[in-house]
Amino acid sequence: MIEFTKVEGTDYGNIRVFALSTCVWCKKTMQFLDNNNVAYSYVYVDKLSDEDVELCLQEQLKYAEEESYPLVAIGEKDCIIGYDKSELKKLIKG
Amino acid sequence: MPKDNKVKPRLTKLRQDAAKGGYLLNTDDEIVEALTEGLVANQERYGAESCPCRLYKGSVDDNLDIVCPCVYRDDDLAEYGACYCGLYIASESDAQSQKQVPERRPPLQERKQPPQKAGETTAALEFPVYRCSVCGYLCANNNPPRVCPICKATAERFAKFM
Repeated sequence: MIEFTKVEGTDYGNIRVFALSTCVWCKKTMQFLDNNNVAYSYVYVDKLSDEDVELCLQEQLKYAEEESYPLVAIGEKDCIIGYDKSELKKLIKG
Repeated sequence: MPKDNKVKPRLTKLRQDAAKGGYLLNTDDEIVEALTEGLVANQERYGAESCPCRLYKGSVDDNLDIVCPCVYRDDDLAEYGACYCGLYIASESDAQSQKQVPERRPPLQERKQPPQKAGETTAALEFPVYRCSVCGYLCANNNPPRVCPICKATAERFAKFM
């Protein structure tokens, strides 16, 4: 079971960020969500046990074929791959 | 996060090496500092300065391609004007921070494919040729150099080319 950390804010659907603790683009993505008061949860994949990393990767594969960070998963199948400010803006404008 | 006393000297060295090698670090200092912190953190936890924006997974060998500078840097600089993590940029006008460069690293199975089979070409050569996976430097000798004379990548990043 992957443990996500929750950040309170306005609900735009179930937003989950798969991130790396050292990644500057993950940081920028989460800063954008924070600055816009978006509710989301995140996990630092590089901080997990090998077993949980595999679980995470399986989950990420449901959204994107390639493994890259950050992966912003929205609901069951939508996602934003990498830091993409214009896509993030679209997300909060609906 | 690692302490400043390791990050600052590393950053100074990165800047010097980039300048010497004809490369340019991102002009966005915030990005460069955060990435340097990541490199120092990865050196501490993995024993290698692997890309801060990629997941280090598996053996040392499995991750050699993403040790900074990664083997994808030059292709990314040519195509996108910046490397995947954004540490290096091609020119000052490429210092963009709105969108990340897409990942070009192939999945593990593809990366593991053996290099060119030993064939007719190899038989005709007096020496094998080794290629630096970071900068493409070729060297015909019985062994690769300890350190690439061009980009300073270490011997394990050389692969037999011919």
